[in-house]
Amino acid sequence: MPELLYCGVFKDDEDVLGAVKECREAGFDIHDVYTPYAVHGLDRAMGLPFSKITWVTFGCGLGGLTFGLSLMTYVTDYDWAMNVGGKSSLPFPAFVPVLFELTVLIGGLCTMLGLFIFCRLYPGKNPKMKHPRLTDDRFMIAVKKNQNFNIGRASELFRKFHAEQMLDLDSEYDCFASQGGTS
Amino acid sequence: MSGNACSPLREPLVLGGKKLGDITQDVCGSIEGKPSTLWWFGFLLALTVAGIGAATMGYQIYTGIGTWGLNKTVGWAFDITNFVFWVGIGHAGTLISAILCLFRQKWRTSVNRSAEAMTIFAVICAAIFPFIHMGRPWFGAFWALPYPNFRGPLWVNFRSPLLWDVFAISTYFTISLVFWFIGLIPDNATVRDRAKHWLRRAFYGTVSLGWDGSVKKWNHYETAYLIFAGLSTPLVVSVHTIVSMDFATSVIPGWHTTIFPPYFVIGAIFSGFAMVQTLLLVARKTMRLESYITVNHLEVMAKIILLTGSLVGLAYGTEFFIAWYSGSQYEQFAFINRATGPFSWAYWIMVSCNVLSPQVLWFRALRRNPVVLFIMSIFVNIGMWFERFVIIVTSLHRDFLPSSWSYYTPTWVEAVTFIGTFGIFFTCFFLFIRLLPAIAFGEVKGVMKWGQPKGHSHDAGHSHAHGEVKHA
Amino acid sequence: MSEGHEVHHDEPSTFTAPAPVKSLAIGLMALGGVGFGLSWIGGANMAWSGWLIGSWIALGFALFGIFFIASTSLANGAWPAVLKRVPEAMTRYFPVAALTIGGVAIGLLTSHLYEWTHPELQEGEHRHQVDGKSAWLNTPWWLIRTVIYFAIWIGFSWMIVGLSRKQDADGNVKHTFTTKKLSAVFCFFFALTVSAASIDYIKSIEPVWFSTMFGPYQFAGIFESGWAMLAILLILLRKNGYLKNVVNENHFHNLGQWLVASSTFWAYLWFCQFMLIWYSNIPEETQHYFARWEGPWFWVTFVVNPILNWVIPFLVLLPRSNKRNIRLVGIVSVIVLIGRFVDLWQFVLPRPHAGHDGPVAHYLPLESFGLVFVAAGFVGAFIFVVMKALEKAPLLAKKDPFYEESLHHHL
Repeated sequence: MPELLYCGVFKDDEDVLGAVKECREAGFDIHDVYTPYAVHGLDRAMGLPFSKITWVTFGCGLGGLTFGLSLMTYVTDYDWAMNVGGKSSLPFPAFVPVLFELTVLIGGLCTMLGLFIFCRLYPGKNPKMKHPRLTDDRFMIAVKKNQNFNIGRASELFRKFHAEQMLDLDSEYDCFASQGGTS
Repeated sequence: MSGNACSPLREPLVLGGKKLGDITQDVCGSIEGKPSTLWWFGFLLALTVAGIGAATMGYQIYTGIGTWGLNKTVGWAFDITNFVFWVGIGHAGTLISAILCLFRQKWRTSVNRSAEAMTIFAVICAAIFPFIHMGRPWFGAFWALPYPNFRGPLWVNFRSPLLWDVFAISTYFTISLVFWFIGLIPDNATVRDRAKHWLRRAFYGTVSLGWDGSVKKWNHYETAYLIFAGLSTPLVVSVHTIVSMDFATSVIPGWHTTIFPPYFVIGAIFSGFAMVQTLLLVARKTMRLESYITVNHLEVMAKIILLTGSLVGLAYGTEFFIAWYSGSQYEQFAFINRATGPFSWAYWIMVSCNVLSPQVLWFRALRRNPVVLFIMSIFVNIGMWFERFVIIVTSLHRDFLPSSWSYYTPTWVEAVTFIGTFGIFFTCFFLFIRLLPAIAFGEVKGVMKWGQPKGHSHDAGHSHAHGEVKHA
Repeated sequence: MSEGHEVHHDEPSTFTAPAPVKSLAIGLMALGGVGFGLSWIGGANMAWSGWLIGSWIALGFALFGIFFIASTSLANGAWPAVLKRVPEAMTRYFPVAALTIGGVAIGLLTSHLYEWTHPELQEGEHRHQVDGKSAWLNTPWWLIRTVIYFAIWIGFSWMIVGLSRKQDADGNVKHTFTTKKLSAVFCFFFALTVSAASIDYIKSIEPVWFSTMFGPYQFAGIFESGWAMLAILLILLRKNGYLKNVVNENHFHNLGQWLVASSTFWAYLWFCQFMLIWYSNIPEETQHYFARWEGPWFWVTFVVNPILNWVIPFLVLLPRSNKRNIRLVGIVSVIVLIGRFVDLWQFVLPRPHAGHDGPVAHYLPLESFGLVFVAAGFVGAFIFVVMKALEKAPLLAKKDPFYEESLHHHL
């Protein structure tokens, strides 16, 4: 069931930042905010928590490290121990480069997968853009039309921050759907 | 906010009073129209060179690496020089995209995309050389990858720096590719939303993975981006460190010296920046990107070249001094032989190109002169190629037994292969600037208020028409 | 925007060294004095080793101060503008450092601190190698070099800090540009002098051993401990009511990031130097690590040292919230300083001919632990000098063109 939204379109990042803060003070529920680039501080202004993706990296990096250490220990000491240059068959200093690379490789690849899963990104996904210029030079705040919503206050607030347009949309709306181009 | 509190000394990063939409138009426009004649000329030339190179590579793989000029004494020469050269070129891309990101150097946004692309193409070129040097590359997977097998307990040797290289280069390539791809997602979404043709929409729709600019996504995206910067920074250092260990773990005087890891990393950044400088000087002129890649950008890069060039000079000096200080006659001979022996011509090319030529950059007027910078960057590219040649060949050609002293001259096969990799590099680069946004405009937009007079805002008229805005 | 302006009016503009900090500094110096006295139990070599370690640690703080100012200026770094008086005050320690290195010279002349002063102690091939270095390692040239180093360090720091004082008076932006030019020239000399000084003061303790990495490795130690000292000084000032409103968790976030980065840089160089020597196994290089390969020194060199200098700062300060926890940054900084001592201690003490018989690796007498107090005494002297120097100028460089940006520094 699509969510009903009330959206304001803005032209400047500082207006969006201000409007988001006031929307939250006014008690509106923000569905989402759309920006063409990462606006510094907007995620915190919306009250979003810090991304948990760091833990994916940390955990998987540690996994890569453990995998590398087990593999090399097994190969060089357990399965076929060799005397190379009179050194121990567990030459830890010589393991460090490969351990580091495996930590970064597996940590990095999992970070990528984590990002795609957290953001639900995949090839062929229809982004359902709410406005054709949101990836260009327009910013949009989409407020949920639920019991906390008040259209008079919302439009007054948006206007205060120089909203260019105010639109009634729903979360399934796709501004490109009628243009014939499907993706 | 942060943009308004910036110091009065800050200079704008984007010139020409551009608005948000202008940036989109300037960058996307260049990949939406038909390619120019100049582009076709460059692309076809690069493709031809790449083709000749590929044919030569096929010839030597078919015939064997006896087609090279190696001999018993100098068993490692042109191929490994080219390998280190190309890996080094790639390092500047990661430096700009990752290290400068961590240092919050905002100027990087105009140049990071093409520098990252350069990294990927350079690593491809680098990988060609050890691949061919395996002699029978179709067995490569047997030799390079550890996997359980039925040939008895036959494993790769984890003590070998050459195996570390396999891990380092493949990790570096993979992570750089991922970092680059993730950076491209929002910009590809912009190209997708501007696309008129269904095929373009489908292509950019696929590579933008359904990006919609939602701040909930930006939140994860920004964190992931920072993590990639944090991972790539030690990664890029590790890569050239490991490359340097190919030499430094040996007992060969001239190769075995503890300063090699940081010295190789600095040298790699130095050579990479010279290559970035070369490419960007051409790109800003031919693609009219002077508003984004400004003289200030060139000057900052020139300063980094001066810094890294001088540090490389310091490393040369340190090596010489410690060779004397060590009291080891072998160490001393290796360095005196470098400077005065049969390969002294290569040594002095190296010193004059790497240490002396960047010293002109102490002067502001020369740092801001594109012609001077272009000539200087070519010199540095040449000098850094010779640095690797000098380290590799001069340390080998007079070994411990004077009766086996020898000289090395490359054959035409080696020379053409090296030239061919330039063809491959530029073919990839020309395809890149036609297919993908060559400037990370999503990031440039975020810094365009930087250093602008107060009160500057995006809120102003647009100089070009966009698609109709629909009202629902 | 407005918050910054309001709070910064409450900030005391003049500074008098707070009594608790002064007592701390004097207490540490007293401890150092007692420690130095007691270390003579272990003989002159032991005592002068402690003096050398302490002098080099504290000299490193001053070097960090001037390098910090120069590199910030070259990189157009804005965030430290509100705290730049502290690194400036750190450079005022140079004259005292010159005196303490003078003390090292006494050790050089009167004891076996530097083995190259007594080449006859070396045997066989080693004797030959030490003699071969005599063109560089001889007492007059060592003294002349010391004078040259300090002339460069004191000269440049006086000029650069002087420009900052001039800007306080006239607010002219051109001083910022002049500082930048001077900084570029200084960095050139800094690289040369620090590389050479680390060979002269530390590496030549073991005259046979050599490593091209040594200069960068010592620089990494100076860099890491410098960040730790800067954080400690800022915390001491904040605890006593200074800079409380202008230096906030955002600045400490940066300090924490730098501690993570610099400790990793140290670990990188430390590991590469060791690994390459271990791998190649060439006798005249390996002898240094060989002396630390077994017995108690193994634990100091290969376990405690990397844990204090890298593992703890790296793991503790990696999460964002910990970097913004000022108390925690302070605790880690103290650990890093102890690590700095351990790093030099394990280099300077276990060496042959240090006035004892038997294998070097098992030579870890009780009195050698007392050297940590000697080093603490030098840290105390350093803190004292910095506090006195801070009194000489306004605590806030309000006319610095980056001041406003630094005040609103936000991560």
